[in-house]
Amino acid sequence: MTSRASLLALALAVLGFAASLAIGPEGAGLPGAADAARMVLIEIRLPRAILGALVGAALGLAGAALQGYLRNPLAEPGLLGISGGAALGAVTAIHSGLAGAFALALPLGGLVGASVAAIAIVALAGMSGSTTSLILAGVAVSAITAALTTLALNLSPNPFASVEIMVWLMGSLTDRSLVHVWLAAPLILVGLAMLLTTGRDLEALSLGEEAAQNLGVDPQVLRFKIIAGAALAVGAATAVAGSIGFVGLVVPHLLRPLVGESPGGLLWPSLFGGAALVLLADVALRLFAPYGDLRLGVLTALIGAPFFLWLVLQKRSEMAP
Amino acid sequence: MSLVCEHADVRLGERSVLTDLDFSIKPGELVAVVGANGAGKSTALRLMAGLLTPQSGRVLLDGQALSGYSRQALGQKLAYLPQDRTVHWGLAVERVVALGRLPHKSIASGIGEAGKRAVADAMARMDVAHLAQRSVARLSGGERARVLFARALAQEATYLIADEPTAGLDPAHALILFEELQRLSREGKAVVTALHDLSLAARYATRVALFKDGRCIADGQPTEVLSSEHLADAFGIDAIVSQVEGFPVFLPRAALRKLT
Repeated sequence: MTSRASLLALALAVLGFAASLAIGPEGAGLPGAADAARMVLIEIRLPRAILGALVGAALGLAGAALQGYLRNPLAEPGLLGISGGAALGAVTAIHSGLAGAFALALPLGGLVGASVAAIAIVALAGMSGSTTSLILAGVAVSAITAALTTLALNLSPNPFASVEIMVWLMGSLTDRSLVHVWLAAPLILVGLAMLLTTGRDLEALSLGEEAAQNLGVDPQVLRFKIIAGAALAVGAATAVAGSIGFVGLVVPHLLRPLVGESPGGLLWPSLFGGAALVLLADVALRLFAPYGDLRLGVLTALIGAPFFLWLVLQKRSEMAP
Repeated sequence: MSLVCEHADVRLGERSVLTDLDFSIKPGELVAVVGANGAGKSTALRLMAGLLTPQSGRVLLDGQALSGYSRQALGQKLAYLPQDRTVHWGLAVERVVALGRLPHKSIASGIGEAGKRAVADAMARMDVAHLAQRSVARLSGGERARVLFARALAQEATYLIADEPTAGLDPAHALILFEELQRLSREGKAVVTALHDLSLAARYATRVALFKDGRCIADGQPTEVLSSEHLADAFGIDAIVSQVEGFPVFLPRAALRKLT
C-alpha cells in the first residue's frame, strides 16, 4: 500500500519536474537559438525545478514527520517556528540593506534566522520534554518572529523596502540561480535523510510514548531527529523560497488514507507528494500568471485552504453516522 | 531468571511515589498488584518496565540492571501494556498487532516468518483475527483492548507487565483475558498485572501484592493477602470476604473513612 502511494506521488513529482523544465512564461518549449535555449534551460528553469522539488519535498516530509511525532493531523512545518525564524532572518537582511549589497544575504539571513529559532526551541522545550512543551515552544517562537517581522515592516526605511519584504514573505521560486541550489540542497538533503529514518519510531508512537519506548523507541533520539531534521529541511527551504504555506499540512493529509494511516509509511509518499505539489503549482503559475503578478506561496494557500476545508467536511461526514 | 526491584525509591517532584520497594516476579508466576488509587501500582509497573529510573535502589532483569539493556533488547524480553488504550491513527488491526514485532526487527529485516506466525497467533488467541483489516478507529473499547493485548502477546517476551488490562472490559472478556494470562504463566512466562477486581485477582493470581501509599504492605498467597484486615488497612473498606461455590468473592460493605 505504502509503495503504491509512493509510486503515485513520485510519478506526479517527475511529471511536475519535466513540466517545470519544459514550460516557460511563453508556454511550452524553448527559444529557437541553441545558445539561448541552453541558457534558459540551465540558468533559469533547472535551478527553479530543482529548488521546487527540494522545497516541496522538505515541506511535505517535515509536515508528515511532525504530524506523526505530535500525533496531531493539524501539525505543519511552520508550527515549530523554524520557518518564522527563517522569514525573520531574510526580512532583517532586506531591512538592513544587506540584501541590496549582495544577493546571497537574503538566503544566508534566512539560514541564520532558522538556526536561531531552532536553538531557541530546543532551549525552551528541552530534549526530553513532552510533545506539548514542544508545541508551546514552537508557538512562542512563531509569535516572537511574527512580531519582529511586523516590526521590520513597520520600521522599514522606505516603501520599496516594505514592498520587497511583503513580496518575499509570500514565497516564490522565480529568479533563483544554481547558487541558491548549492546553498540549500545539502542542508535540505541532510534534513530529509534524518526525517526519513524516523518511520519505525513514528509507527510505534501510534500507541503512545510509553508503549513506544517498550517497543524500542529512544524518545530523545527521536526528538533530536525530528527537530534537527525539520529545522534543516524547512529552514533551508524557507531561506531560499520564502514562506510557502499549506503544502506541509495538506500533502500528508491527502496521502494518509492511501497508506492505511500509517505514520511511518506516510514519509516517502509525502516527500514526493510535496515536491509534486510545489512543482505543479509553480508550473501553473507560469501558465496562468506568466509575469510574476501571482506568487507561489499565495497560490498554494489559495489551493490549499479550500482543499483543506473539503477534507474537514469529508472527515465530518465520515464520523457522522 | 527474575525481574526484581531492590529498595527502590521513586519520587516525582517533591512527592514520594514509591518507598523502599522490594518486589519480584519469576517465570511461572501470575502476580496481581492491588491497592487503592494512587497507591503506586502503576508507578511500580512502569519502574519494572524500565520507563522510570529509581532515585535509589535498583531494578534487575535476569541479574542485570535494566539500564544495562538496550531498548530493543529490553523490548524482546519484556512487554509492557499501558493502561492508556489510545491509538492515534486509524491503523489496521493487523498492523497494530505487528508493532509488537518491532523489537525483533533490525532496520533492514522485515517481519519474517516467525514474526508473521506470532502476529497471527496473537490475533487468534485474543479473538481479533476476523478484524485483521479493520481500522482500530472503528472498534469498540473492548475490541481495542484485545487488539492492544494481542500486540503485547506478539512481542513474545518472557515478562509481561499489564496495567489494568481488564479496566472497562465486560465480564466475559475480562475472564477470557485472565484465562490467557494464566495460560501464559503456566507456559513459563512471568506475568504481573495491576487490577481493581479483587475476585479476579484471588481467583487467577498465584501471588498478590498489596500496595498502600507507595509501599508494598503484603505480598503472598492470595487468600492470606486479601484478608478483611488488609482490605480495611489498604482500601479503607469494610469488606465481606467469602467464597461462593468455591470462588473467592469480595463485597465492600462500607467505606471506613470519608474521602479527603
